Amino acid sequence: MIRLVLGAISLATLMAILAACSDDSTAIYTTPAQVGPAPTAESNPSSSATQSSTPELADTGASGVKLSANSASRSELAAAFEAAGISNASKWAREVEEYRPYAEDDINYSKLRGELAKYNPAPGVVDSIIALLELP
Amino acid sequence: MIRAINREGTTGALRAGLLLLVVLGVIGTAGVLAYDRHWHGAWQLVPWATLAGVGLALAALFIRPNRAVVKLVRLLAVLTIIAAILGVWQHFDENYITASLDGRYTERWETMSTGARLWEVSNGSVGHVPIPASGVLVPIGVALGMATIGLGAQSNGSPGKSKIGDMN
Repeated sequence: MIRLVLGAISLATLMAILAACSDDSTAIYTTPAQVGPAPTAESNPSSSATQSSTPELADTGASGVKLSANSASRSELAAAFEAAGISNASKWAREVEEYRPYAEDDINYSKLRGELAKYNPAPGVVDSIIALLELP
Repeated sequence: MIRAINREGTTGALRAGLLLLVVLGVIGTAGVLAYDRHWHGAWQLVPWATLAGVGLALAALFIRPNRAVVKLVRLLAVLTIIAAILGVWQHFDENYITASLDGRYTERWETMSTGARLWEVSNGSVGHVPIPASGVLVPIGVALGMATIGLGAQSNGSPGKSKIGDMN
């Protein structure tokens, strides 16, 4: 039994190392993802502010077209976030994608706000992200 | 199985206690996972699959505790411990990857040394995922494995060894 446990721990360690090496996201470890200046919106991300409270960064998007929070690809989201000057654009895109789907009647994006707020982002970041999204 | 536990006396009581711990552990862990909506992506489904495996192991142990089942249960116990270790790693990895999303670290994360980053993640200064949470699967796996001690052993005349035929 002890040999089994020791063998299992060794196998787990090996699998963890392999998983870390094969995970696409590990590229983030060494590649700075800082893109453009930090957001300048003044609103608090944990507040219940609506989209209209953060028009500045939304207007800086490359195309000015909002992306679907539910169906836009991660790369599309990342590109839009990056164009809007949001730091760590690809990571935020990953998080938006992870917590799908978002209810169409959740016009304040309370679910997404709650999930993103867990990361303790800088003030204005969540509003800046949501300003670039639409539902469905 | 229940009759066998009754016949085993103190050993049976200990075995029953271990199995009860496993049951309570599975229920409690499932409750916590559900409360946390732990189902976003494949990795987050691993503990659910693990608990399902433990549940099946318990059922098999009660229904037909023969040698093959006991071996399978022990294997599942080991896999449960492996899942716990992978979960701790995965939680750590998630916090490491997302650390720069924290407004306090956004500007300086890339300038920090690897050691400093690892320390910040390890001590919980950054990241919202509870790193040791998956460790709850370890006692479940250990209890499940220990509950099979003496089960499925060949009759060799040794005291305390339960015969397969006695199990049901």
